[in-house]
Amino acid sequence: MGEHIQSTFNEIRLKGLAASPGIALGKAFVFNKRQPVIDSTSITKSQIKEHLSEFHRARELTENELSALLKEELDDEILNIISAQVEMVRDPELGHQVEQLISVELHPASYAVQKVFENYLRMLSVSGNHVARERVMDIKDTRDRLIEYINDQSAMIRLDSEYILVAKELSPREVIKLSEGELKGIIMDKGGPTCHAAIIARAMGIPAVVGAKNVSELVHDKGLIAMNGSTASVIINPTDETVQKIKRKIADWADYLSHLKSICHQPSVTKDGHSFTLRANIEFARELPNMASYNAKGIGLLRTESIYLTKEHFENQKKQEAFYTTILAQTGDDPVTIRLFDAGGDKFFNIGAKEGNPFLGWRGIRMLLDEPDLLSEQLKAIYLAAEKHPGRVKILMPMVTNVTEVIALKKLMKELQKQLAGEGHEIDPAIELGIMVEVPSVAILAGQFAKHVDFFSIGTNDLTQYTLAVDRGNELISELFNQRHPAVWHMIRRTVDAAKQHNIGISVCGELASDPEAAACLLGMGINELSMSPVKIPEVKQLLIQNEYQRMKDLSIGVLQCATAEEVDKLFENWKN
Amino acid sequence: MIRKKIKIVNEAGLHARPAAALVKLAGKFDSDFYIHMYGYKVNGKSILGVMTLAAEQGAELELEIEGPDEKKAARAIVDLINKGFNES
Repeated sequence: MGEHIQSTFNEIRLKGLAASPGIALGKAFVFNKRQPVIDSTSITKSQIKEHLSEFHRARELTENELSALLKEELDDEILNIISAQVEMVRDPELGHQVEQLISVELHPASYAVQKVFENYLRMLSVSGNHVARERVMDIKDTRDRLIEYINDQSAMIRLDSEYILVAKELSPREVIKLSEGELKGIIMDKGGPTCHAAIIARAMGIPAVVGAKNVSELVHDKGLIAMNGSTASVIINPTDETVQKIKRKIADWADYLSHLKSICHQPSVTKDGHSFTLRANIEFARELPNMASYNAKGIGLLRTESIYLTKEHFENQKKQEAFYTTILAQTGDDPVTIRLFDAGGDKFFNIGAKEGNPFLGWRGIRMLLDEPDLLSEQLKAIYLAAEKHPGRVKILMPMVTNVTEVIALKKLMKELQKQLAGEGHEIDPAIELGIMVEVPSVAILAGQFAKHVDFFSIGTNDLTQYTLAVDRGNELISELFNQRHPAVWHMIRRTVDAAKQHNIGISVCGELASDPEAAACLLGMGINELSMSPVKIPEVKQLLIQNEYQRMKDLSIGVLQCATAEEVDKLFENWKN
Repeated sequence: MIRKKIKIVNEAGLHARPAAALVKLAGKFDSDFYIHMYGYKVNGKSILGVMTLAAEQGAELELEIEGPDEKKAARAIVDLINKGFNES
């Protein structure tokens, strides 16, 4: 990391860490954090008032600026940092101590702020653990912003599309503010692929390389620089020859992207005219534009856990309703399948002792049925959102193992519908209820379950874990976790047969659906609806539209003859070629 | 005055979000709130103070709450910490 690979006449090549994909060539904008000017000469008593009000004004402006960022569609981790920064600005101790230093010690406002923060930073450096290290940057960033406002140096530079931003290190706030123009890329001396600047760059689709040691010192401001966010290479002062090469790469990359786009916009039919539907698995509203650009037809799996796990007011029906409504409003006329909270009970409640085996424990619908308030709140929010967008919502039950659970949920749904109707709401009669098929008992008894529900959605991740008895988080046995295992295919076959026999819907929302050959095999088994992370759509779609449905059917018969996952791999490999 | 010993249970410790959640909650009550940890004492309504504790998972804190609504405040704060700030 960071060493010089080659240093010729002028051109310097560096290697950092890949943070966000994309190739860029542009002028370097070296962002040097201004060391704020701190005046430490004492003020006179008559200036106290003026300095106090400078501090209060800076506090208000900083708080407003940070609060405005909280309204943007950002990663939750980033939002957490910014809201912690808001709390820092509001900190009663900070206010009290700074006021004391100004009015008693007669320090100017900027020096007072600096001094108070210094104290906290010194205490943090003593503890020296990882929690402390991560906080230092956010605390310093808050301090500097306050001082910049006190000094009236608050204006942020706006960069245009010619520039690649080069800096030692950037705080989340700086990355967001600096990329409000149209940056070509970001390169930092410090940071790793999971640092906050990297997360934001990825979310904003800006190519980025981090951990490129010394880059901010080696490059000249406004000098030519090139970068590749996938290979993590940085080239300072590229020669004419290199520039030509990079331009070709940029053109190739653009071609590749437009090729993928063109695939997404072709009709979803196999070579011999069998049509299929590809939908998106999503969790956050900010993924919607991405989903549209890959031309996903509606949402096959809307995860809802994050509403509860990351928001402060976690029992808030209105917030949930707003979230579902946003999703529905931005997905045209396509269906949206909302999965009820699928998490262990420990995420929501203090259940004291940890469960010995949480994946076989109190989770999904098991927990929800034990906590009717939580469940009712979510269902009501869904009904109210569906009232505004009728005919499009499907409800999906997670972690079902018994028919009785389905019956119990339907009973509760009926009661809620009655209650809401009594309050004057229109209940969307078209809302479908389906279950996740992710536990062997459901696949085995699929025919029984099919009598009670409108559709099945196969969750191959958990179905694999439970069928093969392999903990998918355990690295020691990660080789055993293989969704292509023949036992999983037999479970799927059983489920499809039951769905067809009872004439109910069937889809797959697990990772298997985004494995192109496996997707062909699923289609061959008779599953015409696959849901996946939107970025996976082009690759899957390419394979599906280039092959005949008849051959996929053959594949789906062949896969049931295999004894091992390796045999399945071989079968798929041969089929493809 | 209420004093209560408590352990940080969530894996990530008192990082940005839990610290913010804690001071936000404490700020809703009139009672004074202090945290003692390994000889340090900080104002529990001050995020900068709480952050300097850099409490990791397993860290033992002693809460000190005093004021007109101390019982209510203690209950809410203890609950938040025991729930691991609603994190995993």
